Amino acid sequence: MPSIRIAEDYLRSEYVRLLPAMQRTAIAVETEVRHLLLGLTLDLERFERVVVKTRLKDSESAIDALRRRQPYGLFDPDHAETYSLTALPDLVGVRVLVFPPRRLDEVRAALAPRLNGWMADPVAATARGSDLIALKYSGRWTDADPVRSEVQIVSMLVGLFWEVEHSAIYKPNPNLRGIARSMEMSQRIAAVETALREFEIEFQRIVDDASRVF
Amino acid sequence: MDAKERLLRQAGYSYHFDRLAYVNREARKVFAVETIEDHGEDWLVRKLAEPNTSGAWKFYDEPAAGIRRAFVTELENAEHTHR
Repeated sequence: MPSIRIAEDYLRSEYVRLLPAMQRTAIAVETEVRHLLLGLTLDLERFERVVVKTRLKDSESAIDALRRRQPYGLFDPDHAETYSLTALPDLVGVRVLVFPPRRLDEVRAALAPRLNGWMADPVAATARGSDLIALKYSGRWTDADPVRSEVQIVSMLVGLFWEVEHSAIYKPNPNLRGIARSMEMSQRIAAVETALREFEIEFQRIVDDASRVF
Repeated sequence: MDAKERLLRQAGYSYHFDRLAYVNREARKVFAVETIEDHGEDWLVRKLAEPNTSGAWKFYDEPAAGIRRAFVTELENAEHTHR
């Protein structure tokens, strides 16, 4: 009896093969990022935060993310065996949440030598804006690593908004991810991110002013 | 509202969030979000005005044969469901 496997079947098998490497990479990336940030973390003021969070994409999220990268969000049934989860930039993800935003540059500088040669993907507050709300870097932690990892450096409130948005909406219904790509929704998301960024900047300004007085 | 989104809505297109595309069943035309993002408003106005007299679905951009088949099947199954 002929076996008819769709792209998702091939990708689930590949995920199981990749999982041990993903787990090793996650531990390595997180440990090295924490090490590189140690000096900066010990130097923080009481109200300041640098929080490192690590996650592995789960199997269905990874397959769905790859599907959404295909034309019209569909795997080509005529070439089901040609897809690979190693094409994803973020099977392993480390997010560094930073507050206040002035610490973003210091975090970036501390990690920059290790991320040299990785693909940089700066995230602007708006589609046409030049103000950055996050920096994303993707690459292989070692030359032999079969999967690509992503290190994100993001302001605390924007990063937490992304987490809430993901866990409340997209985690239970991954296919709703496409809503964020609608042109109108993109504007709404940019407005939230800009408001959170302005909140953080104003907070920092008031703390800085007070520190000059007292 | 984004100017391109306004143009699409005025022309009778709906956003298909699982296919990342704007679809007009009557005109049988499909615009991928990525394609719209890659072009200006002038391009969109021209393409919206293009007639589709072929009877087949017109895609901007044209996908591989397997993807076209899968997407058209979905569109036509939904058409039958809605009738």
